[in-house]
Amino acid sequence: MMTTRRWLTTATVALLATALLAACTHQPDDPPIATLTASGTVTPTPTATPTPTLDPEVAAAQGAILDVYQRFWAATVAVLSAPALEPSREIEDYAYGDALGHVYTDVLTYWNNGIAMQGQPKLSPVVSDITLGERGMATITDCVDVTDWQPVYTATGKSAAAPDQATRSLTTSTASVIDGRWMITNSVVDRATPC
Amino acid sequence: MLTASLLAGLLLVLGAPVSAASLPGDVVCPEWRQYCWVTADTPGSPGSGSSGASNANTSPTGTRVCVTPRGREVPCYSDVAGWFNDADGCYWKVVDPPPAADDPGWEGHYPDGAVYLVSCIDPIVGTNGGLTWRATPPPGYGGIATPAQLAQQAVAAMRLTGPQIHMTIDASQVGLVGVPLWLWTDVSPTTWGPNAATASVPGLAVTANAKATRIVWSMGDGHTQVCENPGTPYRTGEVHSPTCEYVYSTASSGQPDGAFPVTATTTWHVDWSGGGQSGSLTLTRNSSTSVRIGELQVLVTG
Repeated sequence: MMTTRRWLTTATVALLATALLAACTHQPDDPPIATLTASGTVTPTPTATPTPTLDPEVAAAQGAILDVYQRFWAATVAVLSAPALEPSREIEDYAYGDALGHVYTDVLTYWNNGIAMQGQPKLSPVVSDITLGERGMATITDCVDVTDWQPVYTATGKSAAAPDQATRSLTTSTASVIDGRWMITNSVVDRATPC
Repeated sequence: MLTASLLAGLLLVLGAPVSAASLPGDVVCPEWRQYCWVTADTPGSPGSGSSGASNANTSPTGTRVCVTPRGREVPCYSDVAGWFNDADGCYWKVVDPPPAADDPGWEGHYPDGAVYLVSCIDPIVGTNGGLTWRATPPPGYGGIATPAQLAQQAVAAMRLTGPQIHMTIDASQVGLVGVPLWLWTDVSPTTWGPNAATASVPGLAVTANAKATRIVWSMGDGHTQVCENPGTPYRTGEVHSPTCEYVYSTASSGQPDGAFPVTATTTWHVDWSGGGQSGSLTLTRNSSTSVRIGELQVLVTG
């Protein structure tokens, strides 16, 4: 699907944001350290191997994707903490397409229902399936912990959350290169799979 | 999908219309959100008295009033989210920059229509926000247009131009003082008409008909020639055009680049009608070229 860029590389990178690892300790696939499979040089990484060699461009993309993902979440948390008819547009720096429409839909529906989000979610993102290039894409898998990030009716202070919900949700997001930079383009929650 | 599929199924079983707004106490489980939440008994704050009104209203002053499916009055336009669509309770905005040609957002229709970012405030059951392709703008998009505004859109769609200029001699040739220069334009929908176009928004269509009425030929020597016709293509062997010509009395040698600059301006007349109104417009379009004219210094007879 990609065209002629000399450096086009399809790589699979799995990286855990180690600072947040504790939030999601039961994932059976968790690699103990970062592993890489890149451009045909498939190297099964033994647990003992200290540092696999990351393609510098893949490593840079991975850092950029994690950064935009964290900023996307920070902007989401901020805009949902005080829903408004004309909310801050900071999220548009990090979200495009479905991801953007869904955040704005949440903002507007919460405003319409008198709901605001309180607190902060805990994230533990893993980036994989990085494709570089003008149409680059990557997958971000996250076990989002919403124990301390909850919807509240602002008039009464009561919870607006439906009862009996999981506190952690497996969330799969897509990052895409839009006009030369990484943006979050979609996010889907799998309620059936515990994490 | 915005409301749990279970709930949607229940509504269907109970015979409720699928276009129903979510009800107080409904559990909403967006596929993109980590938790489900419960719809409020009443909207966040009282609307401005439109509860129970149908949701495509017009105020006494004729401006549009936008009301959500649950009866709350909201602005018809949001800088952030775009134009309110009464039919689904969502705001619509053309995506900028547009998705790439092979993006799923186009749903295979690229480059027809447009991809919209949909942000819902009080969505009917089954409506999601996100990217949505439409061949034509959704109801309410761009606000309520007047017939005159649509007439302007129809005129723009016709892409009327000035003449496609032709003369007896082309740019590589030199004409002569005293010899009639035939002037004409190709006759096509964009250069002379007739031409017609229709512009519409949901519930209103305006058709405009355009025709050229005359061309003012500014010959570059200080004179103009007005022809109320497109002129006649040159016929070898004939001297005078039956419809439109000009005779230079001076040579162009003293002009910059040794040529007269020629500008031909077409006057277009447009009649439009629609939405119970009608009107007319006059507009002009011009084209330019240049012509070199010399003097005959030796007259050869025989």
